[in-house]
Amino acid sequence: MPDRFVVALASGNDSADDAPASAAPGTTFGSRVSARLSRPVAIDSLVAFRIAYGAITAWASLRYFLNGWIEELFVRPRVYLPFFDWAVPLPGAAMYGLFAVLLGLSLCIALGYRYRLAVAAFFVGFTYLQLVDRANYLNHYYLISLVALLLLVVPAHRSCSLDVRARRVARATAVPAWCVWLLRFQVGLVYVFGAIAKLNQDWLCAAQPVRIWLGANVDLPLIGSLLQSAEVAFVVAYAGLLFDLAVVPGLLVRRTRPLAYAAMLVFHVSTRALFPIGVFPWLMIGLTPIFFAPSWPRRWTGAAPAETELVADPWPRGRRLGAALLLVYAVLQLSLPLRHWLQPGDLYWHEDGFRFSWQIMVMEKYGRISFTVTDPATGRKFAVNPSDHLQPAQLRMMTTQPDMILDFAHRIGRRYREQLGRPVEVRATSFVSLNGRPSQPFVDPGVDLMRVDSSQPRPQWIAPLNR
Amino acid sequence: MRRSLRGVPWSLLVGALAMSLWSACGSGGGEEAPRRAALIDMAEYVIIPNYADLVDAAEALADAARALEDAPTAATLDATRDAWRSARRYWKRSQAFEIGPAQELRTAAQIDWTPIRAARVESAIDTDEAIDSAYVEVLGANQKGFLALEYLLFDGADDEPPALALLGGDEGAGRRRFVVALSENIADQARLLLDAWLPEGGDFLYQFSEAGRGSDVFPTLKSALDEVVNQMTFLAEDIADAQLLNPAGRDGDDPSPESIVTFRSANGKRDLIDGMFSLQNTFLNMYPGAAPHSLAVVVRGLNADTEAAIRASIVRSIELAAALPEPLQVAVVEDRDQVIEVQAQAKEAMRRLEIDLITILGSTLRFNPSDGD
Repeated sequence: MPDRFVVALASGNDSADDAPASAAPGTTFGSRVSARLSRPVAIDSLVAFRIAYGAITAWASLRYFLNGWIEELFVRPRVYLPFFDWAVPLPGAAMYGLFAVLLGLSLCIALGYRYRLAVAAFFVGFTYLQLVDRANYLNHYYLISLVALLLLVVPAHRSCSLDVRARRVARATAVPAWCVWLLRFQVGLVYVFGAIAKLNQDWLCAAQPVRIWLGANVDLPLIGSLLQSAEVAFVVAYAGLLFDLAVVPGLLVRRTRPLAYAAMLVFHVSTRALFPIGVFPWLMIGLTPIFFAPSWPRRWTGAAPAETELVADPWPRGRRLGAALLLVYAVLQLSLPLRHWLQPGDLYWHEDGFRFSWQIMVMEKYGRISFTVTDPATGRKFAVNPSDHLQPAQLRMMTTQPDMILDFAHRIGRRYREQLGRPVEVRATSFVSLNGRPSQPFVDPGVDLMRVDSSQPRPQWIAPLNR
Repeated sequence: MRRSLRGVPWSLLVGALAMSLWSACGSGGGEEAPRRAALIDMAEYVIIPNYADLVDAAEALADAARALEDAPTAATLDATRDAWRSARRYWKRSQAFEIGPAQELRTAAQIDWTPIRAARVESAIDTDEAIDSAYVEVLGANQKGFLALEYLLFDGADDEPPALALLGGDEGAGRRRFVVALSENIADQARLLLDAWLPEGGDFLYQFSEAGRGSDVFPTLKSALDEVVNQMTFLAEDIADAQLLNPAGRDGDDPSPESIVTFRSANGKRDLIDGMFSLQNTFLNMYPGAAPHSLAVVVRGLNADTEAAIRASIVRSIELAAALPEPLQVAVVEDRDQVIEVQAQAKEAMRRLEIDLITILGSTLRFNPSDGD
């Protein structure tokens, strides 16, 4: 099968992608879906997506230099709490070098220069950084990694790129529709699961943690005092929920799309003004136009549509395997955010299944913790102050996240075991406040954390939440 | 029909928003927002009255010291000791709001440095210079203040001469003069502190109450609130650890009653309770009557359970501390379990301030410090 072929595209028809797939009588649902996903659509929105993604990740990488975060998060810490033990940080200078490389790769992605190589390297480098320390986990960094992975399989460099200009790849003005739908699926998940996450008692009945967050913005000109009001907090909480619920359907339907995008702009600009959430709003504002008709950039720039287009087929061989892999990916993405439903207890308390599930801005959690190492042979106790080992940002995150607490306890336990030459017991005394509740015991102080395995159900060693 | 139905959610949303804005704007009728009102009331109902009482008590201490200088008798010494306790009481009750001028003037170092050095105090007395407040002003922190006065006014160990014996006669004249100078210096420091807050003086009241809208000191209202909350948590930690756990003995260690700062005057329990009252007064804006606005009111508006938990932890700490036998240095040895119970309660109050209060006021938000959500 050739890697590109000529087809007639419904040129100039922005809504071609929104039209129902024409189906021959007697065709199955699967074949209709397949036909629709294989249909050629303009490459333009994919290219805009690539440029926006590259520009925003370049800015995100640059911010690490500007804010001193490389030193703070990847050089200064003496202890890391990684997702995997092999994810060790590079030596200091190399870590700076890695960020410089990521910055360069982001620009390569935006410019479409050695695109496949750049996006693959960016995915590996950026994902590695996220694995080095769980304290650094952010939902939108997870999204950046996932999108890099998806960009690897879509031919977003087949137009408006240096690769095309240098004739490393042939220019195309159309791609199979699944390329666009894949990215829509990924971006849409953030909002859909973000909405589901907000369907909880604290959000719906107490407007928490919105009330705490808005109250802290008392200094904003004009509206600062309004934000302290409970009524405004409830309006904001419900407006946020409605937005998350409605934005994806709103973006998918052509007639409501402008309104949905305008609402999204207002939402993200407002949240950026109120909360220190970095590049997240810009990322979503930049990526969400993928929901527009595929040729929207052409319409906006006034470029003339071509009558005959080249379709870039990303998988000239192994199409079935590719489709199967994408299906597995989609199922995984749909089920990962729901895995916490299998766990007993309150998700925001035990956090088992919290990460990688688009639980965005749904809790305010803060606490204090101290550890005691006991030598059972002598009964001698050693008080361990975690701030002697962790940086403030790490300590802040560790204090309220059970898997990080357990990892840290095991690390100090192993250290004392090496020093004393025999097993030790490690216990934690901790108190945590969730969404404005009075603080309450978090880790069961009677449990020897050295005997707790990370796979053990958290209710066995995390005290229940007193609602 | 369809058209009108489609309009309903937006109408409701806009209506609800408008109602909320109207309600939030109109409910106060020109009143300040709760957090600012809490700060303003804190300054007007607690901080300034407390400092005014400190000035009065310190001036009474200076008067008593002058009476002692004129006639060094047991009665004038007892009166001076009582005046010392009274002045110290108002000083300790101001510790939860030891911010702004108190830090700028380094008042704690000027009048409450610990430990003092007895030999250095004695050397300060043995001078040819005129001993007055100005002389004291330039002395080192470990030669002056409440604890230097305590050293001079209260009896030491059994093998040391009684304070009255040292203060009496011609030999004690320099000592008595130094007591007067120390007392006058405390009064001077207290006046500086009060003046710094008053509108006719340094007007820190303006800086505090206009935080974020004209204040040169506090760029935001939040920064002023954070300053107070941080000072409260610092004081709560000092009470639980330095004033209770250290004397009672850490981790099963023997008690160390000598670590009580006012061991000589046996004033440890009063220091303890006054510190706790300082926390209560600052949280409730109560001095002695409750102001209409306070941090407690702000917290109650966000979560009534959390406000009740914070308040109860402080009130219970005071109750338990008040039930301790006196003096504290004996209690930590003979009634250690009871002291440990007070310490545990004080620690709970500390936790309530460090976690619950800080969280609910948004003094620290969970957003990842680097970037986020």
